Amino acid sequence: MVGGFLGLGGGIVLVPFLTTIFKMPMHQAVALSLAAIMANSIVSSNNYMKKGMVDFKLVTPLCIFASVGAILGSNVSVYIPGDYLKIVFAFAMTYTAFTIIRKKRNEREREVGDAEPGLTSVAVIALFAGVFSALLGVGGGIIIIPAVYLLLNYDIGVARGSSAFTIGITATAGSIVYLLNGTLQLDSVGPVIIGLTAGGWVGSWLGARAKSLVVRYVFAAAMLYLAVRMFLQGIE
Amino acid sequence: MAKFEVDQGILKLQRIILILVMMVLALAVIIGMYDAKIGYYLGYTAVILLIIAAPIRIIAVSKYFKKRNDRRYELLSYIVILIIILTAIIRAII
Repeated sequence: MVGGFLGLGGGIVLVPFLTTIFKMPMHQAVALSLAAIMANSIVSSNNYMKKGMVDFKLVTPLCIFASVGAILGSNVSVYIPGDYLKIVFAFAMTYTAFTIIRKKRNEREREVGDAEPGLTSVAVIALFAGVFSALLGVGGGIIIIPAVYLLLNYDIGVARGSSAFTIGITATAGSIVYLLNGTLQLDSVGPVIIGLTAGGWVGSWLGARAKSLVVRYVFAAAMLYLAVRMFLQGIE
Repeated sequence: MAKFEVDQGILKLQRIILILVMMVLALAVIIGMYDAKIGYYLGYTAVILLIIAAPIRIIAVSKYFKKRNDRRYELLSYIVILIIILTAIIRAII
């Protein structure tokens, strides 16, 4: 539900839940979460699409460059100390959360018919989102949404709707690998995917109708939660 | 708030995929209680359906651009499919 409301996959809640309550190994929880994200993306993006909150000109380059960035990130992760990066990123996320709250209401947002944001700028943002999501082990949405909202000046609703569509596509490659190497626990997929999708439907239905200000506060709260979690992981 | 064009084709397609996947998953849960092996295979089928859904959704997006004579983004959407396949291969190798 949280994932659907915010245009994220739901892994931010599901993975800690599976690892702490069900004592599931991390890689199995991530595999299950990726499979559920594919379904959640379909239901969430449909709810956002009905309200005209998905921009396919944003989705297409995001899918390409976020995937490329994730490959780059998983290759560089060996050379970068993840713990320090998590601490640095926890501060960056805290700063971004407050920037989202503080963004002026009357600041002009991108409208339909405005000039396209430009492939280069979308590509750079998506690449960074992909690299950092792989380095930090978080979904791309938590980086894509604030970047698209703050840097490309899209409405936060369109940023969430487009992210909801994108994450389902980018999760596919990982799911293929987890399915082939047997990490994905197929006897658990039924209840997990049905539960996450039902929650995603309710969350995205609410999210597509919620006021921008409410969404901004909830999103900032989710970012702060993740920042604290990352900071604690970093200092452990 | 900016409102982008709603493509009924993509909406319908996604709805059909979702109903199909949910039906298979519901069967997997119900039958899985009596026969774990069949439940396992139904779960496998549901995940395969979800994986196949990604390129199908992207093809629908490319048709959306084709309808609007946007050749550049139409081609880009085909690259997305290529990237999914390449990413899966690269991740499997790594």
